[in-house]
Amino acid sequence: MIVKTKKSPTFTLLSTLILLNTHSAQAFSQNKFAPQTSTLVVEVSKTSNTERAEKFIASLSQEGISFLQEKGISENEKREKFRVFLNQNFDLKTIARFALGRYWRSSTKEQKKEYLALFEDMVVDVYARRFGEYDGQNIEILQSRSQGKADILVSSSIIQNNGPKIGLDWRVRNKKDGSLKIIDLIVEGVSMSLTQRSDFASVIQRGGGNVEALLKHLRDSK
Amino acid sequence: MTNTIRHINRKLSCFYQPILLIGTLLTLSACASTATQQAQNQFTDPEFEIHDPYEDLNRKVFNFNRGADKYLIFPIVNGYRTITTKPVRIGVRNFLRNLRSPINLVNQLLQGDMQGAGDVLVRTAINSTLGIGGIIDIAAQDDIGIEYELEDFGQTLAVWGVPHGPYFVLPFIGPSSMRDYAGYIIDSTADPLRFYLSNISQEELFAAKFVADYFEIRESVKDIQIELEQGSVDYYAALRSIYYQQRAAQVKDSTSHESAVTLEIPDYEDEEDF
Repeated sequence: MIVKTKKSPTFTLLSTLILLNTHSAQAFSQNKFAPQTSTLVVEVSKTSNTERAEKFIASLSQEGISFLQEKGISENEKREKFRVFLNQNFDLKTIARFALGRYWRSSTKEQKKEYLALFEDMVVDVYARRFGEYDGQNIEILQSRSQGKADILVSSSIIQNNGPKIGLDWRVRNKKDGSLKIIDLIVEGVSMSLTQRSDFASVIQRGGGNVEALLKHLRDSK
Repeated sequence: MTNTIRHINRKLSCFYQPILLIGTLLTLSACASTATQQAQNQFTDPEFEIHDPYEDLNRKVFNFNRGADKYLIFPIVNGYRTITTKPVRIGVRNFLRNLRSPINLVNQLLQGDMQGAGDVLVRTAINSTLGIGGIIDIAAQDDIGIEYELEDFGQTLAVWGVPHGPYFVLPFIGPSSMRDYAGYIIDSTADPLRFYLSNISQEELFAAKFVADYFEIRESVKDIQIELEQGSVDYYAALRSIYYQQRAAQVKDSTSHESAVTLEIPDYEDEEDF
């Protein structure tokens, strides 16, 4: 199957408008309809943001987390290396802000500060474990498209030795300072950011709508 | 033995078929009124879709399931893992998936997805022959490249515009919704394979397949399940969110082959208190 993606500036503008108006997902295929990389022909009129984002993800998934598989370094060292890696490549503050949803506004300055620190610790724990299982060599970039105002969704597959491919989409944001940062990972259609927000919202709601309930959980699980 | 099972089966049929029918009608009518409203919200934020009026009861069942997993299901899954190697388990999975072809086919047709239906036919033809009765998934390999896609009546109802209805956690089965559970029962009872096996007096084979299916699925998600439990603060809420997102993605696949929801993540940098 050969898929030609032709993107003129007008097309990009149009699709952005459609996206903003309807919030509906743009047509792009996954799973069995995903084109083989070898036959994917992408014609882009200008060196685009999508291309930059693809390169960013490609280099990140190849070299970025190889240290997690290294044998000679201690767990603590790995964690700290991973923390640096996360801060370099992920927009942790945006992710944390999104995960807290509407409860961000009702938090005090001190609560926000503590939350951001606790969130980072939690993410380092959870993601270190998640990434640790994947071998960077096996991620195949499929395609990318713009999403929202400043985001690019880079689709990839995790190729497993035994078993089916796993769809992994990286949502990359074009920051105002010109850097690219990941703000969400979508595994087989499941957004980690959204799952996190539902998780947190439930804890806070059940704690009487007070952010303190969540902070307590995060403190305790350390 | 056969006769007893047949007898029970016939008795059961008498019992559950009317319930099934009533259940389906109830689901359809209860949901029809809110269908448009929810459909509009569906892809702005899947969060809106979550409707969990029986949360307290659901959490109780959820905790029961965790206990059942720990003391009954996972030990069996671990036993299965001990006596098999991964290639064997993948063979079993492929074989069971191939047996599901009739259900997948009927649902693709009901959803009006002709390409999907064609894919099921091609996959079944190739895998049942070259793939030795479905044990090897040749159709998914790179040169053919038709990967397995799970279709069920819950998805078909969704394509027809029926929303989830209330969220349910079912004993042993786990997350579901009124719509998806109705779909699940219909798939299990109307499975062409079941009628076929019943005609040749081999109902127990269908029961065996049912049990095998269950443990195969539980085995394949066990590790992810444990990881999610460790990585979440409120495991119940996290799993509920994942259930909705995953179903939305599956349904979207059946309708337009697009990826799932477009989530709005605002640019917080402009906010004063950020």
